[in-house]
Amino acid sequence: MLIRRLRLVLVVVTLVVIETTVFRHLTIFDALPSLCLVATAAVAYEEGPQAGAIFGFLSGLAIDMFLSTPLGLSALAYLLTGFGLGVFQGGVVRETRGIAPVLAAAGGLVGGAIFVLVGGIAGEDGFFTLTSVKIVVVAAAYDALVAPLVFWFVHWANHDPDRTRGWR
Amino acid sequence: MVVYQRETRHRSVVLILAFVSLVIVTLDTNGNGLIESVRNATRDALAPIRNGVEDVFEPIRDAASGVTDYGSLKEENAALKRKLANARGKLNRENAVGSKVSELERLLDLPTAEDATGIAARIVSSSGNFERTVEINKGTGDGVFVGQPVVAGDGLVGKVTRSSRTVATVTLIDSPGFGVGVRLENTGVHGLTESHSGERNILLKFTQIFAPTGRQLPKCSERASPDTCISIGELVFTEPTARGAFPPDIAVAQVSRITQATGDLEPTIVLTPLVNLDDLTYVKVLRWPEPKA
Repeated sequence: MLIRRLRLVLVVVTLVVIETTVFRHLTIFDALPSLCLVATAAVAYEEGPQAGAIFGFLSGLAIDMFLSTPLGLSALAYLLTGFGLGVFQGGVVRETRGIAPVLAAAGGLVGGAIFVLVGGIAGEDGFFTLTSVKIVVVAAAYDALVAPLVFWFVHWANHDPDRTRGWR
Repeated sequence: MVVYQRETRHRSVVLILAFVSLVIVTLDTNGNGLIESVRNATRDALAPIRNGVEDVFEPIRDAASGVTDYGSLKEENAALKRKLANARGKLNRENAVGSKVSELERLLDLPTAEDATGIAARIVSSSGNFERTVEINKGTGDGVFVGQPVVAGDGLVGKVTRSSRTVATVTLIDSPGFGVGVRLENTGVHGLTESHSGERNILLKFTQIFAPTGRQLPKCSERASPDTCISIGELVFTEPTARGAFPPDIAVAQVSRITQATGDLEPTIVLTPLVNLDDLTYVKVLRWPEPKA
């Protein structure tokens, strides 16, 4: 259990570092992927709504530390996305090959929309613009592109042969 | 029954965390010292790892861009040589009047950009999707503080808006809500830059009417003297003001487009920053205002 948690912390730290350093040179139409949001989608897919929500909150908080937007904004967006995707996978999605990009894109769209909406309400400049919509859409597509790798990474970290399903 | 209880618990956890998030957002928006300290400590703690990753990735990126951008680099090299030749010519012309200007500045005790010493820094990371900031590898421990201007070789980059012990955040001049007081190169008319989300170009809004005519500056026609109008390619510099946020006469941008739709009272002047803000590697943080001994 402890090893698994440490691995998940490693996942968050690694993704935060990669997202804020390496990917700054790899933008597509000025958009970056949200690696922690994709990881949240992966956890929600594997573990369900509560785990997705908790992981989303913590990983969002971690990425918030390195952004200039208010702390807690990504945490809220990822939390709600993780919960939503967890509910969705429990009710609709079955284990399917190629589901990772679909879930990542859906998570990117939902998480991005919540981020922009709450950020705009909180008074962030330039959030309620068409450019924000474009960035959310492109970033969601980028999320889909990197999803297989991130899902694999999360699966490795989350894998624990000695436990039953559940994320506590 | 068990399923119902479990779902209720899930919802409670989500509601509590959502509430906590909103509280944190509110506190941070209003400026909370504790949150700022936690943020700075986290950034400092991860700074060595991020610097290391950037060090490892830089040669790979350079090699990749060297291969993929060979053609454009050749063209850029030729264009830069032409620019350098033009700049040398201009410099020679300006040297003729420069000594008089310096003398007058000394007489008036006006601060200049040369008065400010700088701290060289490297960009270690960039912002997220909805902001225009970069992070540099120098912080308060190196003398980098909030409010200090940041420049690169060509001109103004932005301003330090957050600083922890080892790293600092620089908000770029094309960030929404960021304005710089500027003056036009030829006429000296004052204005303010205005940036919009997702736009790499910035707009120039006039804060001063062109005194000789009492009107807004028109776009230069073929025969007009550049001292009475705005021309494409004209530079804008930071304006000289007492206790200004930026040292005077730092090049900021150049006029790239002037349009005036029918019915508009004044033209829309589009500026392109002189520094390529999407491809920054090294910058200089100016100690401004220069601390007095």
